[in-house]
Amino acid sequence: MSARDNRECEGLFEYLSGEGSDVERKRFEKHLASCTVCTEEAGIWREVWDRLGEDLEILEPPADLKDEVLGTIFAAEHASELTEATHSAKPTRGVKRFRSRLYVRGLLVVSALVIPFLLGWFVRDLQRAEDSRTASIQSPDRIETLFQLAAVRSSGKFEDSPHAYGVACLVKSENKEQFVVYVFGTPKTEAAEAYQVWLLKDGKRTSAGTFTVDESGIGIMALPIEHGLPKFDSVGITLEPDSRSDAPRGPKMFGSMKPDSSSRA
Amino acid sequence: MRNPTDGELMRLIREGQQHALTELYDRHAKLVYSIAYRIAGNEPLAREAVQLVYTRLWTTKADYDASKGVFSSWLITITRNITIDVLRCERRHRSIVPIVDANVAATGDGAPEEALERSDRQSAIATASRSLSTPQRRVIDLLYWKGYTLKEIAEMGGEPVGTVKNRLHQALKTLRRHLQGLKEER
Repeated sequence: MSARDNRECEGLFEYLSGEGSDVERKRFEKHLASCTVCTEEAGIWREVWDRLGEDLEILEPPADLKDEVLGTIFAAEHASELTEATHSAKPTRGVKRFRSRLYVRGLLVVSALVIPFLLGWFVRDLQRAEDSRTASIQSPDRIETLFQLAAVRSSGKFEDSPHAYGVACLVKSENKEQFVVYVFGTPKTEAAEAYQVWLLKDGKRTSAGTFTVDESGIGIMALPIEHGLPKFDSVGITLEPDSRSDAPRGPKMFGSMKPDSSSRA
Repeated sequence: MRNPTDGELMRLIREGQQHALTELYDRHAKLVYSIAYRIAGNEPLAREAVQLVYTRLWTTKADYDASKGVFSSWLITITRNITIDVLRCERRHRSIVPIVDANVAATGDGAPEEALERSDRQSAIATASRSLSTPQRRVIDLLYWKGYTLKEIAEMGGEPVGTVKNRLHQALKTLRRHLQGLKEER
């Protein structure tokens, strides 16, 4: 096959399967534009690759999955709207308002359980808040980075919690920035135990704080950022014997996937 | 009144209309769950992936563009990407050598082939994939369904990356030839 004869063509399959860095991908795109062999090969790939997913046994989803999936999403949406109603905010218009809505909806993943917790003490009259919702157009917080946190089942701690997961995100509003972590479906902390959040960059770990979890299985940490956070590209959560760890001593409970990028698909 | 198309439902979702997401769930949850389960291999991870897929649909900034293909193909791509992220994350945290996969790569039989047999329904691609050799099917399975990189597949089988790429190239050509043949037969 002639594609193998040219060193530049070597990166074709890595490019097509989405491997490699952005720089490598851009470099290959330039090559692809001028290489008929690779263009032809890429044509075969696309023709076949997109159909591989059809080779599938169709399964019936578990009966409770619909309520769980949609319930989580809509409960979070509802909580976001209540938050909008409880803020005093400047009206926004047009594109800004539309984008704002996206940001608010981006918050939904964290908000279903986080927002009632954070705002519960002053959201005293939910009905009134809801009624005023239409009159109040929010200048919302923005999620700068969102990490999905997956439970580390090999820790052996999730045998009774098959659906545990969480998120970590940087939330910016007009005059403040917060690093928010929430997990749910996770084991409660016993005695002095604490969940500890670690920020990782190139293998170097920095503690971002600790939190505890009660019988509800819900854990939250909201950290106001006054002097910035160290740079990090992933987030891990361990279960420590107490809240004084300088380095992890307990099992890893959650780990991040890459930061969410909605434009991937 | 006619039912809204998937693209129209996605537009309604952008407007925050919850019934549109419910409708998309009813229409496609079987497909999403089946793909997630096929990739993840177990129910808890498949459920997690389905949650992330529908959360992505609800919050997505990248709108579905009907001119770029059918909705189900777009959804398959999203589901596959998300489930593979979940699976890779799980693999990293297991922090052990994937013994099962390594054995499969070395011996040429085991779970992936059995999985392929199970899912061998009468779709064109399933029919076409029967014409692949066992090593060719394995490379497709590990790359497409299990989310391993070409380098990882090469390491599992203890062979050069170039060999894996050549096998993949041959597999894709064979699949295309059979898909085109099937199309002409109909």
